[in-house]
Amino acid sequence: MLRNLIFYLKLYFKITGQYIKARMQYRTDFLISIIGIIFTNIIGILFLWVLSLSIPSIGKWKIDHLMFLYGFSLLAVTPLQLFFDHIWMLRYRLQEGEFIKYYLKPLNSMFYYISEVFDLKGLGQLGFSIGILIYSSIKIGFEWTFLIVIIFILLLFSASLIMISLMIIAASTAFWITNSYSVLAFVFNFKDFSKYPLSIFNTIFRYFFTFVIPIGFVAFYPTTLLVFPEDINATIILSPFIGIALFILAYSIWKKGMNNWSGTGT
Amino acid sequence: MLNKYKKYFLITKNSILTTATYRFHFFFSIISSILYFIIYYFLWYSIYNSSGNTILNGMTFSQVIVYICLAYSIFILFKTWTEWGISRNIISGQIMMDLVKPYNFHQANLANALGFVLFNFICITIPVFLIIFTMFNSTIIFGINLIFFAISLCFAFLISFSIDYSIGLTSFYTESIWGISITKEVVIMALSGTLIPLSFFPDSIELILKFLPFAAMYHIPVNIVINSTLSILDYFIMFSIQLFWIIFLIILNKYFFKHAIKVVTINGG
Repeated sequence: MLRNLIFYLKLYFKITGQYIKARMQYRTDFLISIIGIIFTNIIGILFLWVLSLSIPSIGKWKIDHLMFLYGFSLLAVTPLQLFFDHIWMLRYRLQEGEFIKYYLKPLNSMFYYISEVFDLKGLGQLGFSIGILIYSSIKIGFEWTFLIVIIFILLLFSASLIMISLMIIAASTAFWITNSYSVLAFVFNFKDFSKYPLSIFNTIFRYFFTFVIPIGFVAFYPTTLLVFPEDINATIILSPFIGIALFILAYSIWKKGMNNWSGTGT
Repeated sequence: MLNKYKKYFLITKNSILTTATYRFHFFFSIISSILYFIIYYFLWYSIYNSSGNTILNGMTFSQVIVYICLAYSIFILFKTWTEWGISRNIISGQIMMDLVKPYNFHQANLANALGFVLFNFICITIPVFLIIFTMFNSTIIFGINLIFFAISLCFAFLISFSIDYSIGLTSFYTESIWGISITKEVVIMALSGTLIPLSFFPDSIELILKFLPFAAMYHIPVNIVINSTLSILDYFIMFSIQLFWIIFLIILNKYFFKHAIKVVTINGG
C-alpha cells in the first residue's frame, strides 16, 4: 500500500515535470496568465469594496466576513485549478482518439489522466486566497488556535473534494456526449454561488444548494462554522462525508464512462 | 461597390452557419445566464434589504437589476471569440492562408465576428431581453431612446471588436493568449459597469471610468435604456465618446498590424 503510494507520488512528479517543461514554451503567456488569474480575483474583492461604500453589511455579514467567505471559497476551488485542469481537455482527447493510451498503461486511468497537467497559474490563486484569508481574519479578530487549524484543514479538504467531484462528473459526460464543454462551464459557474452567503437566497435555493447540489458546503457552511459558530446547525457534520461520497460517485461515473466509450475510430 | 463587400458577406454567413451547429452549447449558455441573474438578483435584493433604503446611489433595486442584466446580456452578445480564432490560427499555421487570401485581414475578422453577434442576438439576447421586459417593464423607458440604444449598441460592438482584434494581434508575438484574454475580460467586467453599476463607485473614479472605452461598451447603451433624464447634450457627449474610441482603436490597430506582420512566424508547412 505504502510502496504503491510512493510509486504513484514519484510518477506524479515525473509526468508533471514533463508538462511544466512543455508549458514553458509560451513563457510570456504564462506570466500574463498568472497576472490574469490574480486580476480575476482582485475584481471580486473590488466588488465587495465598492459595495461596502454603500452599505455596511449584508444581514450579519460585514465586509470582512464576506472577504473571509470569498477567500475560503477561492482556496477551496484552488486544488481543482491546480491538479485537475486536464478535465477541461477530455473532449479533445476523446474526439482525437488520443484517449486510448489511458487504457493501455498499467496505471490507474484517472490518476494518469489527471497527472498530465499541473496548472501553474493556479499558484497565483493559491497565494492570493491565502493572503485574503489572513487579511480578513486579522480584520475580524479571528483566532487561529491549533484546534481551529485542524478543523479548517478538514473543512477545506472536503470543500475541495466536493468541487472536484462535481467537475469530474461534468467532464465524464464527454464519454457519452463527446463535447462536454458546455456542461463543464455550467457546473464550473456554480462556484460563483459559493462566494456569497447562502442566507441571501430564498428557502428553495437554500435547500437546493444544500441537498441537491451541495455548493453550500464549499464555503458557506465552513465559514459560518468558523466565523459565526453560534449559528451553525447539525448539517455541517455531514460535510466531510459529502465530499468523500461525491468523490466515490464521481470515480465510479468516470469508470463507467471509460467502459462505455467505444472510441472514435482513429 | 456591393460586389466588393460580397466576399465579406460570405464570411459572415459562414460564421453564422458554423455557430448554428453548436445548439447544445447555446442551450447551456442561456441556462448559465439565468443562473448569473439569479445570483445577482438575490444578492442585490439582500443589499437593498439590509440597507433599509429604496434608493442607493440614485438607483432603485429594479433599475440595478435591469442595468446588470442588460449589461451582462450585451457582454454575452459581444462574445465573438475573435482573439481565440486568430491565436488558434497562429499556433496551427493556418494564419498563412488568412494572410494570402485576397481580403483585408481586419475586415475579414470583423465580418466573422458579425456573424457570431447576429447569431447571439437572435438566440441569447432576444430571449433575455424579453424576460427582462416582462419582469421589469416599468423600469425601461420606451420611446425614441430605443433607436439611440440600437445605434449605441452598434458603436459598442465596434469598440468591443477592436479590443478583441488587438488582443488577437498580440498572438503574433506570444502565440498563446489565454492570459491576456482572461485579463481583458475581467478588466472589462469590472470597469464597464457589467459587474456593478458605475454610480456605485466613488465620484472621482466614476468620472474617469465614464470616459474609458469599457464604459462606452456597456454603460452607455444601458444608460440610454434606463435613464429618463438624458438631454440632447448627454446623447451628444455619449456618442462622441464612443466615436472617439472607435476611431482611436481602428487607427491603433492599423499600426499594430503593420508592426505585428513583420515579426510573425508561420508555424508548420
